[in-house]
Formats: sequence, structure tokens, C-alpha cells
Amino acid sequence: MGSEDTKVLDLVSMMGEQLLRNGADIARVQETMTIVGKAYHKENIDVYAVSNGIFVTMRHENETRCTQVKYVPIQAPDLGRVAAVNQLSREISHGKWSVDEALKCMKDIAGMKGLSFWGQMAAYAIASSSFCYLFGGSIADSLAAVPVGIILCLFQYLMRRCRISKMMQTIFSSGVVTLTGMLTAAVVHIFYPPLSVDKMIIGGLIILVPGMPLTTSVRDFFNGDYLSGTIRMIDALLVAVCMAIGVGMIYLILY
Amino acid sequence: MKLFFELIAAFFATAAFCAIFNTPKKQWIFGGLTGSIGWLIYRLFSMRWDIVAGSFAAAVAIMLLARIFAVWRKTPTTIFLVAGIIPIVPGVGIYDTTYALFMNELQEAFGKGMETLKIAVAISLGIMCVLLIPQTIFVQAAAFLKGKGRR
Repeated sequence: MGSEDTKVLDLVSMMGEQLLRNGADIARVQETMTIVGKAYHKENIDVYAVSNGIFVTMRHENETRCTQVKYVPIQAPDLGRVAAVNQLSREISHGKWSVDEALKCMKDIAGMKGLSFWGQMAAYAIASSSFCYLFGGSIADSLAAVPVGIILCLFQYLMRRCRISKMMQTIFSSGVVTLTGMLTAAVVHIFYPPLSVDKMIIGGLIILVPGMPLTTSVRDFFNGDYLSGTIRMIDALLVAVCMAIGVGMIYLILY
Repeated sequence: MKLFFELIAAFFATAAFCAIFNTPKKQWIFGGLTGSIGWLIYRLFSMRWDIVAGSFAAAVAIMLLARIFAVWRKTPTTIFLVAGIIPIVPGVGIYDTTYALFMNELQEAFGKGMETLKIAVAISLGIMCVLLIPQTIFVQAAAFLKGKGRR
């Protein structure tokens, strides 16, 4: 009996961790955890989640209580996992899985592989060139923005390997985008009329823009989770400031 | 004609963003559609009024679409919202502000900075407006449409 309770607690906190880490809003995290707990007949389950931590307490039938605290650092989101956990919780509440099976599914989700490196690179290239066109670049500009995206992808991969802190990653990435944008434009200028450098740079920069923390923060505020909303808002603001520093650094050096 | 090409670019841009965020492959098309329609609304409203109004209207449209797709495709709203909102997030504003700041054109930097802030607030308000609609309405509508389709 006791081990069953512990397993449910493990399962619930694992699901919460995956949701929170990969960018779901607080209300969804708390709701999912409570629903899954209820699906396994643990009615007395209390969840409190903030942007970077989860607290769960469960009361058992023999009046003992157990608690789990989890620290969840803010990192790059992976929406595939959010969708997978969401699907799993839907199936659990329909009574499809036993606790052990669900735990196994959760382990699969935690080990889920994302897009391959080359796929990622193609996505970066497409994103930077189409955003360049979207923000008023010509077709030649957007073609020239392709190497900007590719080099950004390579650079981010390297930095993730070296475990550089998130703020420095943003500063360096935006610096690299500015630099490659200028270099590509200079190289192309040898045999082609000048490109609009700023449109190319913006195309690459858009990939770094903090759209995710901004939208999540708004929804957290709306749901009354002011603490989490504030944390994410500050995260978005810091990323924007770091981008500004990175771009500005290169301009200062070159002019 | 230019707008049409822009819509295609917006579609690919948002779909690529779905890929960067590791969204499941079968949702990419819907993510792209969200971004594309959002951009259409943004451009139409920006032409008639100004960029801030355009951002607000686009945020409303994108959030509505995201919620509809979320119920229909049985996935969290976040997936469509995050990718769809990226084109209208003021990335250009951040860039222009910094550029003006480092070129020591403080007047222009302040103006651009305020505009960026206004756009960010407009997007937040747009998202909130749609959040006001209770979830049950979307679920009921989906159930109603499904029943109709079967008949």
C-alpha cells in the first residue's frame, strides 16, 4: 500500500516537472497534477507550483502525509514533451494506464529525443530567411539571411556543449548574428548591389526573441499566479536586454 | 501580391519555429496557419490604424485560433500560441532601439523604446481578452460541430 502511494507521488511530480520545465503555464501544471492524483484515487493532494519549483503534499488513508519538493531550473522549452505529458494525463484520467505503466511512459517522455541536428539547422535557416522577407527584406536579402541562421544554429550548439550560462549565450548569439549578417553582406557586395544589412540581422535575431516567456507570463498573470508571472516577465526582459547588449557590442567595435 | 508572398513567408517562418521548439510534426501545419492568419490581421489593421492596434488585433486572432486548434487537435494551447505570436513580438523594435541607443540618437531611442513597450502591452492585452472566454464554450462548440458532421 505504502509503495503504491509513493509511486503516485513520484508520477505526479515527474509529470509536473516535465510540464513546468518545458514551458507550460502554472495553472496547467497544477491542474494536471491534481487530475492525475484524483485518477488514482488520491483525493487529498495539494500542489503549489512556481516558475522554478514544485511542492506536492499527499495525505494517505492512515493519516500520514508525504511531501515532495522539486527544483526546476528555467531552460530551453520543448513543446513536444508538453504535448506528450498532456496526452498521457488525458489517457490516465480515462483509466487507461496503471501507475507502473504510466511511470514507464513518463520515463520515455523524459528521454524523448527532439529534432535531429540537421533538421534543427534547416529550421533555423528557414526561419531566419522567411522572417527577413516578412520584415521588408527583398528576396536577395532573405537568401543571404540563410547563412546567418545556419551559423547561429552551429554557434548555439557549441555553446550548449560548453555549458555557458543562459544570459551569456544570448549576448554571444546576438553578437554572432550581427557579425555574420555584416560579413555576408560585405561578401555578397563584391559581386552584387548592396543588401539591406539590418533586415538580415533582424531575421536572425527574431529566433532569439523571448516570445515564449512573454506569452506564458501573461497567462500566469491572468490566472492570478503573480509570482510566476513576474519571474517569467523578468526572464523575458533580461533576454531582450542581453540581445541589445550583444548587438550593441558589435556596433561599438565596428564603428 | 506582396501581402500574399508575406503570408507564405509567415507560414514557413512559424512552421520553422514549431520545429525549433520541438512541437510534434503533425501540428506544424496548424502552427504555420496560426502565424499566417495572425500576420494577415496584423498587416490589415496596421494599414488602417497603427502598429499597436495591429498587434492587439493580431494577438486576439492568434490566441483565438490557438484555443480553437487546441480543442480540435487535443493539445495544449501553448504549442500554437508560442509559434504564432513570434512574428508580431517586437523584435524589430528591440533592434531599432538598441541601434539608436548605440548610435547616440537618444531621442529616437526613447521613441522606439516606448513603441516597443506599447506593442508588448498590446499583445498581452490581446491574449488576456481571449483568455476571458471560458473554456467550456470552446469544448461545447467542438462537440456541437462534431455531432453535426456525423449526421
